[in-house]
Amino acid sequence: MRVDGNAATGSLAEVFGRDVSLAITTCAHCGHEDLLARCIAYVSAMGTVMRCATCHEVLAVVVGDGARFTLSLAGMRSIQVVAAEGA
Amino acid sequence: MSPRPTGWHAGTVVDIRQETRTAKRITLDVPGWPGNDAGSHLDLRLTAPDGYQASRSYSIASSGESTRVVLAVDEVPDGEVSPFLVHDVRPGDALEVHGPLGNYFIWDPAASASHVQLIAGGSGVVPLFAMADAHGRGGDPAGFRLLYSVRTPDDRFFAAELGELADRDRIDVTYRYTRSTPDGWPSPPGRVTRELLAETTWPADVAPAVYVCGPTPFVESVSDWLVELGHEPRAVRTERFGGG
Repeated sequence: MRVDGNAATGSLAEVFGRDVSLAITTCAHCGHEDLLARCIAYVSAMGTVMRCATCHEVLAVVVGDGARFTLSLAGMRSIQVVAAEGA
Repeated sequence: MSPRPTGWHAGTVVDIRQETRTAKRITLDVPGWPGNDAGSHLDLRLTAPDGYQASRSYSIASSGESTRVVLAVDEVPDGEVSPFLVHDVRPGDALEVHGPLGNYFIWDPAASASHVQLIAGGSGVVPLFAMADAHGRGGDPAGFRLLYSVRTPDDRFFAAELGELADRDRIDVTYRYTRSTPDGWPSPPGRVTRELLAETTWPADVAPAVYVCGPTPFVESVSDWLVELGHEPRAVRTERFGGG
């Protein structure tokens, strides 16, 4: 099911502990820089694959079963987030 | 605005209403809920007696500083979670929710001076209704328009509330019926087209904030046409919910 990166917000919050939909990501394949919420996400029962909106290569994969989550950021050159509240 | 903390909460169903023939409006009370902005969503998790879990994302139809959270859930006939929510949930039942989620697809009346164009396909109207409702309750001067593609008049979500907002001149609503229309409706049933977008939505030269939510093919067609009509790609925010 192809949806927006926005749909990955919940599983990413399991890893980061907060909403990172406004994080700025840089694609390791084509260098495209964009908000995480604007990538293309493929959601299934097994997990979520995030792909670059420009070159469609894989940016990140998150899988989990409710007890443990694994995040691969192999296709992101960088991810920028604003400092957490109180930092 | 500082970001709202997100986390898992135990909610209790306090009210259930029939929203359309195939959808229910479900109101939860969620102690500890930090409030939510208009347009955000949550993940809802069901756990079977054997420990099997399934979770799905649902847009929130309500907004503001309240522990009451309103969902409007349309049944996906072969779905795993929505048939349970539509047919089996009762007041008093406990539901686990994770949220609020999604700082991108939100409308904040304090942060935006531009006009707002909402474009909905089917149950994709839910987060857009939250924005229209927040606008209706606030005093912001934004001009709101909604183009709502829906199968039949009986399939409209929040029909009474949208009618009331329109009566108060807080929003202009254009319905596009895809299967059947009311008697005497000026146009036959049909899908949203690029021409309809050009005729009924804010033009690009007023630089509106645009929010599009619906099935993936609907959102992709509409957002491509909006860019062709001159809207800045970054001014068009989309929320695809899959399906067809």
